[in-house]
Amino acid sequence: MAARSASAASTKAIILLVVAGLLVFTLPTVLILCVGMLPTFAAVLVDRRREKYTTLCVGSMNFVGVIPFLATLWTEDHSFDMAFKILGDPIGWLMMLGSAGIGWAIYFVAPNIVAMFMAARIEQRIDRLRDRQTELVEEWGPGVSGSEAEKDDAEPRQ
Amino acid sequence: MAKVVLKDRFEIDDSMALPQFDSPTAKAFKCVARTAEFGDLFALICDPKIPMRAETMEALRGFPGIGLVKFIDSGVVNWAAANQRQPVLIFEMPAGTRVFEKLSSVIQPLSDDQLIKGFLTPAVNTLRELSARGITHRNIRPTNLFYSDTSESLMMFGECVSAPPGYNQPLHFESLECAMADTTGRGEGSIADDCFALGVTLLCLLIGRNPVPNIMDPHQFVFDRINFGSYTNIVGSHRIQMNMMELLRGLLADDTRERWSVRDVQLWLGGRRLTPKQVKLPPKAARPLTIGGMEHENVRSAANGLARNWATGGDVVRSHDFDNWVRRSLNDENVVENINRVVGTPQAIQASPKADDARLVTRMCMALDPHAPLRHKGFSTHIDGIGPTLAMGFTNENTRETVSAFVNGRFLPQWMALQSRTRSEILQVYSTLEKLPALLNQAGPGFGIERCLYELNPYSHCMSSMISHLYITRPEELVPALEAVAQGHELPPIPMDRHVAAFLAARSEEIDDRILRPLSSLDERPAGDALKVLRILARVQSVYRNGAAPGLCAWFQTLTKPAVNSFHNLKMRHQIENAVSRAAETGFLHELLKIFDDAKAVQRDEQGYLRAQQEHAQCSAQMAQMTLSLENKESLASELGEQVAAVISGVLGSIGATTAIIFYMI
Repeated sequence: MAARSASAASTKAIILLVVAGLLVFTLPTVLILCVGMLPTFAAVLVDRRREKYTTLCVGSMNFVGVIPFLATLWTEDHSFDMAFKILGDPIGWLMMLGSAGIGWAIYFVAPNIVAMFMAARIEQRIDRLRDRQTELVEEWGPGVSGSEAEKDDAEPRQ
Repeated sequence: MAKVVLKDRFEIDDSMALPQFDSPTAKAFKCVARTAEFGDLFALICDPKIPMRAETMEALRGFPGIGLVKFIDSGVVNWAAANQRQPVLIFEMPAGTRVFEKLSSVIQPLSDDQLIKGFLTPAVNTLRELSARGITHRNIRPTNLFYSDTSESLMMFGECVSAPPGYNQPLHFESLECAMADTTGRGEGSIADDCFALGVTLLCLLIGRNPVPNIMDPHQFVFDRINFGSYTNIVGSHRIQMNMMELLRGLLADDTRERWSVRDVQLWLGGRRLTPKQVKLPPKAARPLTIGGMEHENVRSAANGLARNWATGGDVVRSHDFDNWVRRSLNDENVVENINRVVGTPQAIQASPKADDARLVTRMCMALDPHAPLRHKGFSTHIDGIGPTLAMGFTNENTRETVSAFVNGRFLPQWMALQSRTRSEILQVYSTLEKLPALLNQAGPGFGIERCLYELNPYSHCMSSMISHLYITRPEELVPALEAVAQGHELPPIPMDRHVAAFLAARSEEIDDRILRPLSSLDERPAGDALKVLRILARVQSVYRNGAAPGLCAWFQTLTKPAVNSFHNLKMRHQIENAVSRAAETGFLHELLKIFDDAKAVQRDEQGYLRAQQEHAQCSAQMAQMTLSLENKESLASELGEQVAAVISGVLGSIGATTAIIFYMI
């Protein structure tokens, strides 16, 4: 048990070193990501769920908005100048923050749509059950419901 | 008024009464045979409440000679005047009139020659023929004598089958043994009892009137006959010629061993003459025994006194005085032996509990006078008189209770042990009586006192209030009778009651106790009682091949409606209703029964209903749960909605990212 946790800790340390090394060599990219992904960081802060659905939702869309600028940076000039130039362009901001807004919109609208679907499905099932009960009463009489005693209309002939 | 037809052979004119041929319990009407084989006939329309002598009727068929009104046939007819079916007896009409219109009538005394040729000779021949056929007349008296010819020289006995034996006989026409019994319990008796009645009738003809016009106190009369002899009490001070005195003393002897038989009378008619015997009185005890304030000097008198004072008789029997009287004063070893045999030793008698007094007195009476009627709690009857007594007094609660107490007393084995000779008919009654206590003490329909009634009266009609007016005597007549009831307007609650059940049990070999016993058990199923009755009557209809009874089936259709309605499955119920209607239209009860006897269908219905109930309940539970879910749909959808949003975003993000990378790479 102790050996397994020690191994996990060493793996984490190796990964951190690799990531830190990469960050040092890709600072303009890191700059774009840090600024462009600000809505995602905000979502991480407000997301109380363990599953982090808000973060996933906003982050995915936010990342789509950031990717074109990262691609421009990597394909044209991977430098701080280029990074600042991109950050100084309002269209860039609009795309990065707008895509995050779409993420937020999906996050807020989807539950309502799901609720509508669920309600429709439940109502459909209730209707089916009610129909079955009606069938049972038609086949076996009102006594089958247990709420109404069967009426006995037979009276001895006097 | 109209003519009533009996068996397609006889026409009875109910507007033509013939009062001259009336019997005390039956009215005579003109009757004509449809064939020429019979002469003038008359029909006796009998009282349905009075049991008739069916066995005697059978034995009387083809009776020869002119000494007895000829019995032709019997049956049951719809008697409009009474609005019911009544038994009818057909007889050949006597050529002459009744000899004594009433018992109080006075006629010209008959001469010896008239008596011998006109009365005794045909009477003796008739009695001899009756004896040969193993039956008795038991209805011989002057008011039941007719002239058999227009010249009024020959006499014949009247009918003897319209009432129980001896029922219509005045007290002094009955031998002492029969006179001590209740009117209805006198029993078939023997030809010796007929000889006694012949003697009294002879005396009437001899003196031209009734020798004992008034019997003020019947008990005192019997007491006097016991102590001073019947001859002394009946002949009294009437002057009798010497030649007739021998015959009368012989016929009126109280001791049956001393009484003249038919053979003795024949010999007398043939010319044998003996010195008239003195009246033989019962042996006297050395001192009298006082019972109920009266002194008794002989054993028969003491037994009679005990029977009359049965309420205090137990104390008398237990007293030392009684024991001393029996063992010392009476000086009769047979009596002592009888007491030891059926009552017990003096010690056992004295130790007998007070509650057992009535039984003790009955057994003591039997031991003291074995030839007397059986007497219990004031009820006095010969063994074969119990049936007619019960039949005639069945509506009387006292009679029912008395007969029940008598049957439960189980006196017969002791009584049989005391009889020196028993007739075969008595043995038959004995075997019937032996099985009665077990039947009487069962409470359900088919048992009890009603069963005793029909076991003891094998020819009596069913006395059920539903069908008594239809006078049915055989089980095969039951279903048609019930069909007639069903065709009426007012229906009884159910076509079965205690009388019908007991009647079937006693009369039908096909309906035994096993089949009737379910009627006693409580059945909580819908129409359970109706189904049990249906099962029995279906069997009766089938066994006796009665035709269709659509009215009865319709009656059962109504009665079994609760059973049909007990089917839960409405479709099946409807199918069964249709099936019941179709079966009822056939008129055969077993068709109806087949429907209700399908136990598997009932079981299937019950199981299906149970399952349906469970399914209905499950549906309700599910709906309740879903309704609750519907109310909380926002909270339920929240997590799922976030998941969905994450997935959508993830998918869109992936697509978008991939598209952008591809775009920049190209």
